[in-house]
Amino acid sequence: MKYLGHLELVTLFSRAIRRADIPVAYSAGFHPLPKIWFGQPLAVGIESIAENLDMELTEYGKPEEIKKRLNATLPDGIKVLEAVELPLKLQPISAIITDATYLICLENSRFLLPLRREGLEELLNNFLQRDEVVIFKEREGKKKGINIRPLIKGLSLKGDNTIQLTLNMGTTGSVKPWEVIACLLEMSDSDSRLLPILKIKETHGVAYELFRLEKSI
Amino acid sequence: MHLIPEPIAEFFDAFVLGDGEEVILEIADIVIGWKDGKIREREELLKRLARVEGVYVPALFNAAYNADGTVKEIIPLLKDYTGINKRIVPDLNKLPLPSRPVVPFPQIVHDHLSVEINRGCTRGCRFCQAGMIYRPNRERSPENIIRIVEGALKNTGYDEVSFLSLSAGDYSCIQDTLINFMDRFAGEKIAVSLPSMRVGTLNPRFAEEIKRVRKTGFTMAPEAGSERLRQVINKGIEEEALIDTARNVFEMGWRSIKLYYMMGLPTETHADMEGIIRLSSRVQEAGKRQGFRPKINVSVSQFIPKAHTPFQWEPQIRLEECLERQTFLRRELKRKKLDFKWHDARMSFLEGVFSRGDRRLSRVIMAAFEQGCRFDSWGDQLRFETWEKVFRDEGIAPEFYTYRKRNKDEVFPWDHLNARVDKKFLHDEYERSLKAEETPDCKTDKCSICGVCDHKVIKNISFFEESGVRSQKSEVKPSAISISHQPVKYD
Repeated sequence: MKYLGHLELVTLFSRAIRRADIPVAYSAGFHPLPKIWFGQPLAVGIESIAENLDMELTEYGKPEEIKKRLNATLPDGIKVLEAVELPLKLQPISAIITDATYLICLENSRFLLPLRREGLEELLNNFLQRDEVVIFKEREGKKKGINIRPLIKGLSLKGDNTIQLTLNMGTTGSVKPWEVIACLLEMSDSDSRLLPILKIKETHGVAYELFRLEKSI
Repeated sequence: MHLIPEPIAEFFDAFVLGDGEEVILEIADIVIGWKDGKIREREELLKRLARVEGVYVPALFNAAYNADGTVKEIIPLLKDYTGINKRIVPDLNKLPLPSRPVVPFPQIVHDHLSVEINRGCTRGCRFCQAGMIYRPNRERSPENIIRIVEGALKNTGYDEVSFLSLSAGDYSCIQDTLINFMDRFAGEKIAVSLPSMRVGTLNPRFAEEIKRVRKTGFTMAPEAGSERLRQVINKGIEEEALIDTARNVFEMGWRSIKLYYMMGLPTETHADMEGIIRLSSRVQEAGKRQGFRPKINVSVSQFIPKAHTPFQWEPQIRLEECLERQTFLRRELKRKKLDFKWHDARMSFLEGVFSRGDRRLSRVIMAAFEQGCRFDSWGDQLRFETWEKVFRDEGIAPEFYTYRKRNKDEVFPWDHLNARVDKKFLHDEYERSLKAEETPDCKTDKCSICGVCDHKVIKNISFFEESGVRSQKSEVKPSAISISHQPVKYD
């Protein structure tokens, strides 16, 4: 499931909602679409237990009931963890996300081998003390340097071999978790993309916790 | 359904010829018996499979060849297994249809619910293999279609349904069905698509529905540039009717039309090629008269004679000739500001080889594979030089299969594979084509005695519309079901 793209996930949900016969509202116009909105699109390859989905219905439904019905039609690996009722007039979730937290597992990774826990801790601390960390991204054939340090809200070690990373989800620039790890451990992006990453938390500007979707393999 | 399996015969134990729905269960029973150890020998398994109607086991036949390379004889190795009749499911309505199709998570090519509304086509276009090998024409009843759709939509959650047919417009009550469908499902925001549509007289309500569901371009297939050549191929649409249709389509709001033609058809001359330019310009003109410049895509592919069709005796035009004609078309169409789409002539050449090939080609395919050929029909993956080399290495001249006019009594590598359309009928059709004689559609006109129907169990099945279009939204009435049965006229 973690290899599904954002649009595929949207389609998957639209179909599950239809199968569950949930009275979802549709947009008007030539090609009506169900009124469902996700938060920040989850990058392909990342698992998550902290996805949010906003859904508008044409008639009232008890959140518990909706959750039960959806879970009955969702495929294995995708589950609604919690459902809550929201006022109709709310900003879209994607606009109020402030930060997101990920766990990156280095266990069994050959990149961890030369590092012991102390070594890793030192690496993290050095990284955090810097004001500027520039990585180079290739866009349309051009290499462009961006400073990712302001995008990193938190970076710490969990246990012996798991890194916890919190990224600011502002309006200015973005960085992918594996890009931070690649820079930190001096590996290539294609290598760091192979590390298991789990999104565990999404924080919003407004108290706004609704569907938490478990996304697992 | 595989009626030209010879070039790949060496790679397969068994093929199914014809409709698969019933035969697949019979095959499964036999294979289960083999897995359970009730059938011990592999040879016994193949023999058992061969006894199932419609199953072709290539290993139970040998081919002998003449000095000139043509087939001398297809030699059956079992006494009572001399030829294979394609399997026919006489009535689609008696088939259970899977109501819980697999729903993929990632996006796939046909990412919607597909319902076959019609199998077979009896228009009798002489170039068309599908029109010959899928006979007879069997429609699914409108009630059945709605019922299938209803169940499958609920189980899948799809929001789009595609009505499959060789030509959706030839489904006898397409208007009723589509309108009923929209009445029933539009509220649930279900879209419907018709992959192939023939527009003749359009009921305004129907036109409106099509317009709602058809978001992309509109395709018309004149196939040939002149009326004469269209008579040769038995697609006798008159030019004025085509222009009328184009006018209709533009009036309904489309701004682009795709025109589909073939080049290299039997008896084709330069005048026919010019006809493609003229007819396409006239379609463009029809749009301009309504005050806009329509986008006209002119797609011209090379005609490839196919097995089991009236043109199976005909040569294919040479590769160089094809390139020359493409150059001509490109230049002339550009002059008229019409867009031109063509096929890679080398690909058409290879397609021609395998379309009427025999089992000696299995060697060629194997060698090409070993030398790196993969996905050759993806234009950018075509390794034509490798194919040329492999043909040389294996001592097989590909031109033998493409450029040669066959004698009337030549034994074809597929003669033991019976699509149930008589070879004599095909040859008569071939002769009629050269005289530009029409053979009418046996669904609406007299039986053309092609040999497929026994007129008892196997026959055309249609569901005609009760009385034009039902306009009431309220209920879905069962339509008067009439099964058309054209009596045989031996005249």
